[in-house]
Amino acid sequence: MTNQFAFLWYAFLFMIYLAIQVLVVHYWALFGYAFCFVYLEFLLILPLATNRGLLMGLAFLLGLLVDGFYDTLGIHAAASVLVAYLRPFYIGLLSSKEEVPALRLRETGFYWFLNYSLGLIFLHHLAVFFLQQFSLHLWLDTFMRVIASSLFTVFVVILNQYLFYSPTGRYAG
Amino acid sequence: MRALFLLVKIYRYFLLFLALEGFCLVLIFQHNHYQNAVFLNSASYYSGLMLDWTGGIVEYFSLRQSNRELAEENRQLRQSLEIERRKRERNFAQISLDSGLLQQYEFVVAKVINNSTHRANNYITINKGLRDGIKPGMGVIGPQGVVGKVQTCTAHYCSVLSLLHSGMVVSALVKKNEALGRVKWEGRSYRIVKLLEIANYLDIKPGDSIVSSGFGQTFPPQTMIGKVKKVRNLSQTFWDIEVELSTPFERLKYVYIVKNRLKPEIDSLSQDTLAARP
Repeated sequence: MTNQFAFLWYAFLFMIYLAIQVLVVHYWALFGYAFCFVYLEFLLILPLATNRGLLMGLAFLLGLLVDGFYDTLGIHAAASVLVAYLRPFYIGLLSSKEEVPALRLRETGFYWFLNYSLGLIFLHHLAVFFLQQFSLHLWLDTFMRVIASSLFTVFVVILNQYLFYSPTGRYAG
Repeated sequence: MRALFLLVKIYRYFLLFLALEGFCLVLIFQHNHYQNAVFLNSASYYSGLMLDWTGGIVEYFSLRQSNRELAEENRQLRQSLEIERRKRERNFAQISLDSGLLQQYEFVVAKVINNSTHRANNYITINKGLRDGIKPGMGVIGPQGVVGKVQTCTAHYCSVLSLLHSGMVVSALVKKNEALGRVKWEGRSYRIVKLLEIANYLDIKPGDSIVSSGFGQTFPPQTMIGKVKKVRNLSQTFWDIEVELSTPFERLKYVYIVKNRLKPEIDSLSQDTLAARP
């Protein structure tokens, strides 16, 4: 894929993830307890070589747009920027950069991708839920929500990876 | 300078990160009332003690203002004392010395410890309560005029229905011609109340003083309420009168609770009258 096509492709993905998040996933609440923030997958699968400034800028924009629909202005933006900032360090922690071909489950293998997505998604959810609660009152309850929602989101993200980004999937990006 | 540029270049992503997060936090505080409220609440919870302590110090800084207000009030009191003295000298022969009349009202000074002006119904909390002989229904006045009415009491504190409360009505007079009306807050500005039921053939001008009538036995007669600000002719029978309050509710510090020693007697009398009506 050439550079321009890649740009268009990711711009398209940006809008798709945003739309899916605010139109569909918005209303998912597992047992009224766990929530799914699948838009994070966009930040996870951006190419490894993406400029860190651009990564944070996109995260901020995406988070802000999601906030607009969730009526939580600033919270998702803050958590997404955190994820975007930490992503390179976390990837470095998991393996040296040369070993990672592309940030897709079929390229990295299941366990690497699970580690990768679980870590960053957990951080993101931690930030979102505690910013929403904004106190350590009922912290255990909030923490359980973070864990449940993280598992929910990771499950959906990995399912996506199998459905849409696998060689047999329809949209092999 | 070069070193600075180098430093900025090395940490540019970290700085961008901080800038974006800072911006997000500003958004969170400005647009999410809940976080704002929690922040303020917990702040006040943890620093409640601190606030009490610093409040003592801050009070010193407003001493000048308080002094001025107290001095002004002293002046007014002296003046009225003088007037009373002269009146009594002049009419000494006619006045029967009724101790009840001479000491009908008793005042208790209280400090305002909580106050609001921006809600639809405002309350004031003051630091005197049942222990000090305060009972629900007593009037509360400030140095500049009518403030409210005691609603509930605990041992050491009272909750006062502010004049800025939709359920508060005060019987009032236009000072110059003694026209009787009622003063009620309409909930818009905390400086403005409405004077109702003043017939529109009466002569009312902006600047006229509005005082309490004392008919409700809650406030002493002739306690200042405010000055007429605007008079409009909207209905067939009554003026539409806006009164600018004389009491600055937003910076109320000390108030007086009015104990009317004759109120039980007057109340029972009017009740008997009602009961005895044929």
